[in-house]
Amino acid sequence: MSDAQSLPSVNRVVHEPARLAILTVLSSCASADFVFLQRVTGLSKGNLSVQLTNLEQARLVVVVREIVDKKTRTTAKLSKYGAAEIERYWRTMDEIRASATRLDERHGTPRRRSLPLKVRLSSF
Amino acid sequence: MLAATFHKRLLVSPRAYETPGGSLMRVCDINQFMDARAHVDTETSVDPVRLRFLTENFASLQGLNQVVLGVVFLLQPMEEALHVYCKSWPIPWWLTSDILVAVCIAAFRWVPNYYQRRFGCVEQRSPSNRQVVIFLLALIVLFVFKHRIDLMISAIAQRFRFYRGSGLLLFWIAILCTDFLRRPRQVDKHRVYFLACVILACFVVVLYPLWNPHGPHVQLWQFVNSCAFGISLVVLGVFDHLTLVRLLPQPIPDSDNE
Repeated sequence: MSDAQSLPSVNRVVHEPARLAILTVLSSCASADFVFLQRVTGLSKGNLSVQLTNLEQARLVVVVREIVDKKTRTTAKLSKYGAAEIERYWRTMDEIRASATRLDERHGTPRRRSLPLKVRLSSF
Repeated sequence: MLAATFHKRLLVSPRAYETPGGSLMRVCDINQFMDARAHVDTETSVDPVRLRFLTENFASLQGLNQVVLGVVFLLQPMEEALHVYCKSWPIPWWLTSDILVAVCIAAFRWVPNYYQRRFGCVEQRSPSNRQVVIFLLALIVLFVFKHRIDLMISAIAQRFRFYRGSGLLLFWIAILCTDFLRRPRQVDKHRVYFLACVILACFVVVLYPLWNPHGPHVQLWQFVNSCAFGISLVVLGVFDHLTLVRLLPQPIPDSDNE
């Protein structure tokens, strides 16, 4: 098996930037409401709503809708499965980064390393 | 037509398959991902450090609360200053302070509502058992040895000729120093310099009697000493609020209602 094939795969539901941003926020707190998620991720209301529905259908988050002062208040929190998935995602990303570094080293890709002072001075 | 049928069949298919990495992925999940791509802003980039910092420190970044608290701490010295320096002040000083107290009480109610309405709310994780135990132990130690601690502070104040009234300011400097170490520096780099300036200014006020033994008797120094805590709270509060606003992206206008 080649190195490229041995790279671990990532969960594509988590990997999409908007959903990853939502999951990252929710993994740092117990729960967050719709307004906070919108402000912190910079998504539009419609987009955030779609992404939350997708995450809810994928069982990654739990969305609670309640009526407060005649207004709908939406709160989201990470499910146990979602917490495990986001943790696994970051671990996988670390593995991919490590594999890429190993590949670079094996194929002799030049690494950005500063030259010794003597060489730099003599080149001018 | 064929593509639509294929797409529909995939959407309703409850099949699950094994990805090369070994993770189980349902086919309909992939379709959801593909469908949702149409709504996603492709330029959205994820900055986990910023997102985590904002979420974890959301309560402490609500700086207007600190500003109101700082104004409350400024009230008494300001009242005294008005009484001493502005004898021709048209409104009686007690009425001035009462008006300010009423404004502060209104602000204490208004500020949290403002943050909730404009920035939403976050429920933080409950503290771990270890943190609770450490806090309780510290409280017990403080309660048991409070007399000894008081004597020790008095001895230090006498030894270094500190003014006893600077105790609050010294305590505040200690809190600011711990804040110095606690906050991550990747996101708000300027806070370190800002905090250093505030700590230095507080130290200058506290240490003034060291090079001027008559310092504690100077009325202006007494005023500055009692004002320093309130002023630094106001200044840091404004800075925290600006940091919160700066780190949040501009909201995208959307005609859709939630």
